[in-house]
Amino acid sequence: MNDPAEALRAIRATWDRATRGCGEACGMDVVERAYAEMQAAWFDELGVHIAVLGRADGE
Amino acid sequence: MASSDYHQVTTLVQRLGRLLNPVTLVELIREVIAAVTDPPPGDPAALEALAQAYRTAAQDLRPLTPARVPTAFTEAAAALDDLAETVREQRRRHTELRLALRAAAHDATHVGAAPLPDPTALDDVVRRVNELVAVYTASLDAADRVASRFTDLAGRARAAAGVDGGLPPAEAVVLAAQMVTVPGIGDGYDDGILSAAQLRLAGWRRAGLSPADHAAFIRLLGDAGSDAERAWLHKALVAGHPMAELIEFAGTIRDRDTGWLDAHLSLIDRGGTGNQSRLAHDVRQYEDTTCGTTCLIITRAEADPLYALSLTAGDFPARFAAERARVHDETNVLWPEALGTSPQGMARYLSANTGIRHDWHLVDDTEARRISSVLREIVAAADHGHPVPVLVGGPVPRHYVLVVGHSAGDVLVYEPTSGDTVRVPGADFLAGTLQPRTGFPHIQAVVLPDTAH
Repeated sequence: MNDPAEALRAIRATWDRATRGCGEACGMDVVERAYAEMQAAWFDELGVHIAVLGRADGE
Repeated sequence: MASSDYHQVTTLVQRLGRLLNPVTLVELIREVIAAVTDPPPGDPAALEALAQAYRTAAQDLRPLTPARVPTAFTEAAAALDDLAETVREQRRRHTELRLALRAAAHDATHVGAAPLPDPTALDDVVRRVNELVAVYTASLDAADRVASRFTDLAGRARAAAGVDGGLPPAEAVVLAAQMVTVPGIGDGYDDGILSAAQLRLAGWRRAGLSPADHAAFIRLLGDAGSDAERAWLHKALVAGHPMAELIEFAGTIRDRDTGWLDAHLSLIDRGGTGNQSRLAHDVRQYEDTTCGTTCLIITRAEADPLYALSLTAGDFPARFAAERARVHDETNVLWPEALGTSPQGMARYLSANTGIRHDWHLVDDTEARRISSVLREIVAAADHGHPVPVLVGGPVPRHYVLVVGHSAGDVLVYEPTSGDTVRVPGADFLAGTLQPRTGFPHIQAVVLPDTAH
């Protein structure tokens, strides 16, 4: 995949599918909430980088 | 014996008789066993699968994003792995103790093979139950610890916070990458010039400027000599300075190198451990009773680069000394100066000078669960870029230190007596063993920002 924005989008999609919720893995609600906030924050952060790479590629 | 005594003793005997009735004793022990049936929650295998997904993503992200992005993913993987290991161990211990409790319960309700109570064996039941309570308590502490690590990592997604506030993505990415770097201090802790909260506010403040001020601010950004200068300009905007002051500030810092900017616009480097000095002068308390004052000055400087510059421009030692005297007087109107600064005075000063309401809270660190949740609040505030003054002491409150950072379960503390930032394991807060690093063992009060307002 040569388009960096597309490559980053694919990495994010794979990671997001595997990690979106921690379900009962985290055990307690306080951990689940903190995990969900972290996962959402980094989903958005990668989205910003995708936007920047896309613009650099002339999208 | 009076008749009332007779009645009381009779009641007692009857109660004891009921408790020692084999049926009652068996029921009570059954209830206890039922109450501890569920192991501490969590799924180690699922946690390890999550950790692996973060690790794989970190590898894939490395060629496409700045280093801080894969680093955060790697640290998330480590936090998940640590939690998996902790949960696995707690569940193993729970299984072991439940089996021991069953055996102890059998002994306490049987004499030989006969179903008769054996009070001499009750000690063992009580011991096993206490051990199980300790396992559950440890699982709550582990939950607090890992939740703090996740909060720390969420706070590092700074570019997204900037975009959320309204900054253009390309600008947000560049601003989020600007760090304070002072020679001699490591970079193991996140020390962006702008915290996630400040980046979000920067977008909001820019959007709220009048058209004329907005145009003026964009001109300042265009005239700036570096991205670091632009980050400091945004920090000054967030601190609430009017455009005239921002224009003067921009002129003062224009084309200065990052070494000059970091040395003059902040008083400490929150990136790691070491001696904090500015312009060859230690940033520490120089009087017996100004530990709180020194923490206040640093906290305000972390929020406002113009304030920091007002001290570092010119004769820093003299200005710093004068400011310590001024702040100490201002915060101790009704409090004897010899006792240092009161927690109320600390909270009042920070509320008035940072734009964020601060409240002080007493902490009882003899209660492990209470200190664990307070620690979570402290590190959450630090993760959002707010230093947190912490009052420590022995039998009585004695000294303020400042929590300025957090990473992987460790807390970065500025200790004003030495002027050093030191790494303190979170476990030392919980156990009341802070003495080697802060001079006193116990945490007794904290001054926390109320970021919900």
